[in-house]
Amino acid sequence: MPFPYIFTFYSYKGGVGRSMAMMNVAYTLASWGRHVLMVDMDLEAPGISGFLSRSGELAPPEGAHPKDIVTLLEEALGVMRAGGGADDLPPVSNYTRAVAASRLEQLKPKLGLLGHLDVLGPDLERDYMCRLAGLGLQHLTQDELIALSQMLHSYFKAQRFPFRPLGVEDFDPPVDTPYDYVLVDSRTGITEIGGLCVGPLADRLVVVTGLNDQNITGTMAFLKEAGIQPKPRSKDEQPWDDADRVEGPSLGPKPTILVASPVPAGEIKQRDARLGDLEKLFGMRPIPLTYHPQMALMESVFVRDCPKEYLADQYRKLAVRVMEHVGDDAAALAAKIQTLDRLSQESVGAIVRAASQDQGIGAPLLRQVHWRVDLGDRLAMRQAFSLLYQVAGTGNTAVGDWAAALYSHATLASDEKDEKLERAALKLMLIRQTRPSGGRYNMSCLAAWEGNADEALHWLRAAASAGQKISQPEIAANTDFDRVRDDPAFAAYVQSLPEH
Amino acid sequence: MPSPHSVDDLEIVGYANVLSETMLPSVVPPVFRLKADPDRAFLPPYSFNAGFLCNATEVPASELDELRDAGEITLFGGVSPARREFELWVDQSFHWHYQSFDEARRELGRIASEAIKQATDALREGDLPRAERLAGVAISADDRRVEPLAIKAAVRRSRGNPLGERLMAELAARVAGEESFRILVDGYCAALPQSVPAAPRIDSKRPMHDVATIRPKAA
Repeated sequence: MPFPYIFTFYSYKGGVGRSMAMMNVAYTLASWGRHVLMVDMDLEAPGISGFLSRSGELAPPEGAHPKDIVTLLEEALGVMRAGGGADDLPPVSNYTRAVAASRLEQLKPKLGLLGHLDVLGPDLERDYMCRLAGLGLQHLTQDELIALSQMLHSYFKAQRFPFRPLGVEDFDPPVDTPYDYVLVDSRTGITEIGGLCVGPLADRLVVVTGLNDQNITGTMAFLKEAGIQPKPRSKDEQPWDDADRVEGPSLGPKPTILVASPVPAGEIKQRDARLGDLEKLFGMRPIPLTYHPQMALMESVFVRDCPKEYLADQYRKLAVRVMEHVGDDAAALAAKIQTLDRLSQESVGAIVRAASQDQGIGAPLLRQVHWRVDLGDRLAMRQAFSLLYQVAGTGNTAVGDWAAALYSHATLASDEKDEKLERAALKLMLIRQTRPSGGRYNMSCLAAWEGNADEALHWLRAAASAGQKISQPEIAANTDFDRVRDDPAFAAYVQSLPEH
Repeated sequence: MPSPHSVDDLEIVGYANVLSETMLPSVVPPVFRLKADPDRAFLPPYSFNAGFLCNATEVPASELDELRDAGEITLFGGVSPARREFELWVDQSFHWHYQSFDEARRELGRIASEAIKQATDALREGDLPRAERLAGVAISADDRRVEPLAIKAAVRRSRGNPLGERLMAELAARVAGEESFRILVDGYCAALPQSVPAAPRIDSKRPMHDVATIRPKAA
């Protein structure tokens, strides 16, 4: 089963920080270059989408933008009753708002520039309560709820959005891109909306529980009702889907991550006793999200605004656990890359994903790639170069290769040739800013390809004087110089180069 | 493995069941014995293949009386030659019939239809015990019919027994979709002299029941 993977965040009781956990995991995933859709299904007490809107996180809506999650559900129910399927629904971009690129750019690491974050939530402005009541979800039978849940699953899996990530020039057409993760914020309690969110819509569950008795008892009741075994999955269990490794502490059969929140920072004895109780009850220690006064008083995109705080670190750990559950963690990606016989488009893509999450693993792999894969118009390669450019110590090489890739593409493609060449030249100039001797030969090729003999000659001389070994046969074999080789001054200089 | 015997070489001495009134009419498995060697009797489970009785349990005929006394089988007190493609069934008066499959199905279908009609009438008159008993007759005669199950479900709903109604829906699931079954039950309920309010849908009362065990289907 391919990406996106759909994670439903559920808590039996409210006020445990479930929505904030989901939002911060979403921002973390985006900061690691993933494409994420947040779905606010807490329809009777919506929070996330309102918070993001009020705090100016969202990009201005495109047009009147009258549609929201309630409209989508209304239309999905209509399609379902008419015997249709997910294909009959309009694209999700009709109902979503994007998080502003400027907000993603503030994420550290800056690989958020590769990421994308959309929000699908309720529009509280437009007669919301009437529209919600009109849905009549409470009148649906369980079979209908399950059918609707399945339809939404298929729908989100199939969605694409036009995207121009880092590495794709702004004159390039946007790339039709799938989401990597869909994170659903569910309604609390035992409800129809809960059934919709926890049913086949979700590939995975993240169950958040407080440490008090009401929370733990309620969580236990929910797990029992929904069919989740309150014990760690055994390694002999059948995987839930292709990405399920049945490893790591999770409940099942649907892989379920258990989170304790908010865990008090003080009251050590009682806290440890309650966590111990939870561990005894479920056979595994939950991931803790510690109480933080900042979040209690003023909600924020914590992983971005307070990245060094302990809670930000815990949100990131939860994001890693989410990724591990679908084989998207750096270690799994590295293992996958190493088992591939030859580097392919797929492995380059995997390397980019790994690098965007963990430069320690990704950067060496990227360096390997850029020696072993032919340059060309490969989006993943250009992303690799743009990533490498941001990794210390590889900047010049990467940007040089990035320029070469653009140049190579410009000489082959019929569209946007001039822009690509210009962009390649700019990148080569960028190298020269940090390493004056760098990129000269490539600049010469570029000028020659454009038919500018004087410029080509200038850069060729500069390359040779910087100590680069250039011979007559090399220039003769390089077709980039075809347009200028008859120029008398250029020809005379080439004659002066070594014959071997 | 026991050797097969041609059905033409066998005769019927009884059937491997002991029936009560509520179980009638009923198709029953015959107890056979060899015409040429009457001391050899054959009990189910067995199967028929190209006119041969296969894999039957063989017992000495002398044991049949013991089995009857133990309430395992019913003996006729006489014999009847076995026939290929024939079915043995017992009617509501405990009379047995040995007929070709087609004849037997036709006769049992007629009994089922008659019982459904009478059960519906009983329902209209508000005689719920009779309606339920007749629905039972129809189910025994032809278990592929959905109407008697719906009548039983309507009786259970009128008695405020949602779990009993649910059980009927589950029994009917192999022949009717849940929604069509519910509509059918609603119809029978409407026929009752005192209109029975539509029962709350049990499944909608538990919107999260086992939902996390359902694997999403690939698109």
